[in-house]
Amino acid sequence: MKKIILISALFFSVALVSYSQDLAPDQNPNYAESRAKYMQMADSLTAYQSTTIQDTYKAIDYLADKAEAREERKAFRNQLRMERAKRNYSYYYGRGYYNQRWQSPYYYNRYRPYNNHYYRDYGPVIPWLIPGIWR
Amino acid sequence: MKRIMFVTLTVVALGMVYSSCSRKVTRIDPSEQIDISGRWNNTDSRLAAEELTDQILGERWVNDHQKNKNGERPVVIVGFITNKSHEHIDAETFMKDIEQSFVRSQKVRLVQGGKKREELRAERADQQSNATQSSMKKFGMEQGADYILQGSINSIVDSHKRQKVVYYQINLELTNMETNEIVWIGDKKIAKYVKN
Repeated sequence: MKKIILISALFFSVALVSYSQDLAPDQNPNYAESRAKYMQMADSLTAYQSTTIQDTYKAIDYLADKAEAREERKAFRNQLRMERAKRNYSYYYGRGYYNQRWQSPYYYNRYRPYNNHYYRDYGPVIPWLIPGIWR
Repeated sequence: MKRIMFVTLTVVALGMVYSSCSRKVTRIDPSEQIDISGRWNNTDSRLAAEELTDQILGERWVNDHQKNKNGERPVVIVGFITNKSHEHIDAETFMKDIEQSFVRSQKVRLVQGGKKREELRAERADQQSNATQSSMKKFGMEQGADYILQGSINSIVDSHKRQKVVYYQINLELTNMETNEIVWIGDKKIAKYVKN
């Protein structure tokens, strides 16, 4: 029994000595927790050392804001113009009642020329599509 | 007469168009102060570098370190610089000047960090299988830094109509790697009055 106690006491004293040798004077004995945590992140955290992290903000600047608003208005108007052109709207009045296609002077003249409105004139496109015409 | 007038006017008009389209480029002295837009420029970067270099090399932290470490020179690594201003500013332009002053003055030793350090390690890894045994560099022999240099750039903008005052403050801090103790703080303040 005495032998077992002696061996275990010896074991614990050796463990204590080795543990205390690992610690610097006044070092926190729990340092290993933090070390383990940061050992895993070290690569990602230090990858951008010596560089500038851009964390800028937008300052209140009267002239800059005015210029930006002007640019935005310009872009909006341009976008509006593009949309209207795409949908065949009138630039100024849109397609309201007073701006229908039949009010256009070209509307009644669209089946060219001098036809009696019974047959639609496809112009010179269709004949070219008929295979026999090439011979 | 009309013909002569027409030709003269055409030549003058063409000349004006040509002169307005032509670009002129001249080399200037980098230390010359030219302010165009009022934004951060090379003069600000140079002023920041000069002031901060004087401060960091002229203060007592170097002597304190040497006193505590038997005359050894401090080893510094450059960390992040955070630009928290309202403009895009790359701090590398003045940080490189400060690093250069470390190396030239021989008062402070500098170690590589970030992507360049990664590249060094990759090259060392390559040497393990490709270089001769006598020239191959060992892993685990890097110089550890005693201090880390970190910083920030801040700004304040005060503007009304056509007038503007822009204030920049560049702060650098040197921190002991083991104790987290800040051993030096330097700053450079720049204020500009811009009238459009």
